Amino acid sequence: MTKYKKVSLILFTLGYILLVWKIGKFDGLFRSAFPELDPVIYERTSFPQMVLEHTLLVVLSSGCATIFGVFCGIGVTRPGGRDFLPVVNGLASLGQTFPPVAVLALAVPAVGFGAKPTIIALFLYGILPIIRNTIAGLESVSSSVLEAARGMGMTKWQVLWRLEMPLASGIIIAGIRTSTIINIGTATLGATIGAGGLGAPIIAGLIIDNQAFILQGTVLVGLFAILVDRMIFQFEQSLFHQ
Amino acid sequence: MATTQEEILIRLDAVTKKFDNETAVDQLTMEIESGELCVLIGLSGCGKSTTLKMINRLIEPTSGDIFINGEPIVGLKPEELRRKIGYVIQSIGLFPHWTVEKNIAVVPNLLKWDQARIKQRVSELLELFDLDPDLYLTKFPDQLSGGQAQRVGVARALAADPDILLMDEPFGALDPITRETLQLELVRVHKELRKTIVFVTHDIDEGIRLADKIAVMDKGRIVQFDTPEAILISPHNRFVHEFIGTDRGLRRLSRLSVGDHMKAVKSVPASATVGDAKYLLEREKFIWITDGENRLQGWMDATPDLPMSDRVESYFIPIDSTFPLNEDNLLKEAVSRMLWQSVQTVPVVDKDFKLVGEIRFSDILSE
Repeated sequence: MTKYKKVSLILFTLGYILLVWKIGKFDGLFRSAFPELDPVIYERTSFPQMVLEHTLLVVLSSGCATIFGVFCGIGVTRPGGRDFLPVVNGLASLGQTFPPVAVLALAVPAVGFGAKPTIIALFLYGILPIIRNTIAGLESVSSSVLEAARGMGMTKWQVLWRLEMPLASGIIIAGIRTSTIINIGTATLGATIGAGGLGAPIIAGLIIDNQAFILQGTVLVGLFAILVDRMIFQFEQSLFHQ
Repeated sequence: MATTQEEILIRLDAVTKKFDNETAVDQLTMEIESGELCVLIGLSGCGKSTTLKMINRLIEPTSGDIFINGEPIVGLKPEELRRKIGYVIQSIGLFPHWTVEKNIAVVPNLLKWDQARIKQRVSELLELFDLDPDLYLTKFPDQLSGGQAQRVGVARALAADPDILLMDEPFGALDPITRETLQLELVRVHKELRKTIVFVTHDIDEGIRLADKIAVMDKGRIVQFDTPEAILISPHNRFVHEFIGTDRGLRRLSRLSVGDHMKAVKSVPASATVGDAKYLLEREKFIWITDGENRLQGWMDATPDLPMSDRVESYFIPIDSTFPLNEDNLLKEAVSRMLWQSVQTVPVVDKDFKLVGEIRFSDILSE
């Protein structure tokens, strides 16, 4: 079963790469669907280039959000950091309430146009689910396990790395998965301030009223999100079936 | 370790623990001898668990000192101290993502034993608790019943062969039958390994069944610290009296075994003649009848006018195989059987159903 899933994931990935590489081959298809449009394939940047840009935006922002979120989550569930739990929770929620567009607008004057403000906005936007789930995951570890572990002479670090993190990992990874998927979609907004990525054909299509561009961008972003979701899921599975 | 039977292994000296302004343990002083099973008993909130947890420094005393083998326990890092002391809790706390094998091996792994030795030790412990290693090593905690899980919990506590075992209401969450089985296993394991065990419970029957010595606690102090017999016979004050209850006479019977109080008895083989049995029947109201190998068959009372030359086997009354007691039954069961069957005497047999003695109600009364 898992083998079948792995194979299908690999096939999915290869198919996606092929689609991105050879999207020009669908020229005829788009032309018959949108006969009044010309051109029908977005050509200002190559699609592989945009996928790479998009990946970079997501990997950097979600990677930082994961590292920051998990460490914050661990910190506020330790005895010494417990006082900060409400503050951190509050700040993370605040980050979530800001619309990403507003963060972009605020970040541009500070750091300029391009990928940087996009990554900052995505980072802030992606932290909440990760912190929330890290805290929830760590707090889901039963107190009897912790008492037994301490009673047998495990150090705090041993308790954290051998028991709490493995036991919480399912919930934590679920948070990372949610956050990353949201970021893949939201990253399209980066195109409005010149960060590139798969948002570019969507924004361009909206401006010049070219539905074919919009369709290409959305389909590729959507498939990208599904692909990454499956990948993280597979990673989670392999963690638990060692 | 060169401890002798009488040596003091654990000593608490004027230990006090306050939580905010609440005093949980108040100037408590006690000594626990090596190899002893010491039960701390009392109502909820009497400080018994707190006392236990101060011994492995899960809780630090507000004042006072605790010594193990004469050394103050504050001299060791808490983690090092705890690795030398087994710890069992009511909620068991097995690590759900680890196999039974890895769970039991926790402390040996922390102490960095070599893997071959750990493997051997784990199997040894599973066998000690009648769990087949081939079957259980690779199981996960959620595949175990409550009783099996707590057996693994105790095995885990014993893994690194600690001198001391701390048990915090370990059987409190089990059903009564499993609890009794585990109590008996604990008594057996304690006899076998002679560990010093400090056992917290609020169940007086459990305390009486297990303890070498019982410390009755109330409001953070020890009210009475003595053998179960002494506590049952002469409760120190009203609190202890009420705690052990009005049926302390019956409770005491659960400390005494049939084997220690039965009397030797003569029997007559079924192949003998009524004449042979006569001389015994003249002195006793009835006699036990056995087969050629002393296995209990039945009984016969002193009916007059039986033909002297007839064999006993045509007259005796066969006995139900569930009626006789074993030597390791408790007097409580003996009395229960007597009341249930309305008899005053019950035969005692060994595992091959051979007659080894009898126990009489009058003997129990005079006890």
